Amino acid sequence: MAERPVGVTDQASGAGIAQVRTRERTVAAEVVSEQYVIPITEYLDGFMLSYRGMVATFRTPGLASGNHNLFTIFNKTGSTKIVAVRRLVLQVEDTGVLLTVAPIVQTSRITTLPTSGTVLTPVTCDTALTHDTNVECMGAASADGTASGPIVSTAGTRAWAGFKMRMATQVGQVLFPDETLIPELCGDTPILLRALEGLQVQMVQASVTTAHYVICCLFDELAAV
Amino acid sequence: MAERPVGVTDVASGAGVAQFRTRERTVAAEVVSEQYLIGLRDRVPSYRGMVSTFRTPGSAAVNTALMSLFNLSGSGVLVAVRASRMQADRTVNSSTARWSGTSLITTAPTDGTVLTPVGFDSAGSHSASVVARGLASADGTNGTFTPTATVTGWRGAGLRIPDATTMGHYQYPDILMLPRTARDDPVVLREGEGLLLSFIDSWPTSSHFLAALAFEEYLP
Repeated sequence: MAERPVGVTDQASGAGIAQVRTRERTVAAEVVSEQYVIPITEYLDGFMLSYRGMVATFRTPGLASGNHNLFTIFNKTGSTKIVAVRRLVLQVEDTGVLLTVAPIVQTSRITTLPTSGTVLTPVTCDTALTHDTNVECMGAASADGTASGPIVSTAGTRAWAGFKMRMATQVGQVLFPDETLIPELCGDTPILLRALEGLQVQMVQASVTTAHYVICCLFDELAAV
Repeated sequence: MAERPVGVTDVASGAGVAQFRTRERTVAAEVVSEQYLIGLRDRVPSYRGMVSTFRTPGSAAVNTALMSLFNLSGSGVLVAVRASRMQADRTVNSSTARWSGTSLITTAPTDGTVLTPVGFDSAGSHSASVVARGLASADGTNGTFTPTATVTGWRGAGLRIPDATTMGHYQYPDILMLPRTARDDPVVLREGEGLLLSFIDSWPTSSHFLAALAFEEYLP
């Protein structure tokens, strides 16, 4: 590859003339103009942002039953939007002791609409944007510390997983970074949920009931241009 | 370097005229138009996926393979590995330092448990020639996985807690098994190449691990 200056006629400023902003410098003995541009983030060709929201569960108590669901986000059938999940994190607080191996918390893809949990209301990142009600988030608590009816949803193949925090004798909270439930690179390379697709967060094994969880999710809704 | 507005004739809108999107503002006393551009990645993935192991108990043997991702010969795609991480849980205290590592391999693993990736987008098309494998066949159950590690390119420390009274798991940042920069500048696996995550040292079998990879497949 070689430098290849492209010459264009430079019109004098005045009526009917637009001036493209550039900076001028010499590269490979040629005086060239490098254009200033405004990059637009596009996660998906042909779609643009229609909504950006964040949603948090209530403080959700652990359950002694295995495979209990903590959170879902689902793009319902008929939706014209594509949901881009950019951040999905878990925080844990535990007031009890657990000496055995920690439960796994995992994220998987689902294709059936979850039921019976508590529908959560997203908070917009910009009030000029409009949330599509076809995009539904659910938690397993109806208020802080109050478990609701469990989210009825069957997990798919494990996509990303981590261990829940546990402590052997020093009960209490240890301050720690968020547990990321999807790859961190999803911040700029999100997971896309088309109509009739969702993500589910599940505690795979039984958990101590002294544990409490909060799941937070940042997502975009993308509309076809 | 200096500001250098380039003047172009601005044709009035109407039939036969296309209009570039710009915003107009004044810079260095000149009214200039800054163009909006849609940035596209140089790599156009045909598939973007993530894959996780089952919960994998530690191995008393040294140099035990944990997880691999291999791009088989004839796949027709390149693989960009953008993230690799481990998590550990220890139920027994230890005063011994233990490490894990990532190496580049050129022999396709043939045993272990084939792991199914999960796509970032259901519109993507996963190549069956890009194969992930793991040591564990189910949560807490190890099988046989015998690929051989080569030169270690990146190392991760394992969790250990020496005090017998505080054994257990403390949640901490992921153990990164590739440089963090792989997110933007990935490790590229060409045909006949793979990545192998392995335990360099022996681990108590009471240790438990989860490993995961995020990757893209794209055409050369």
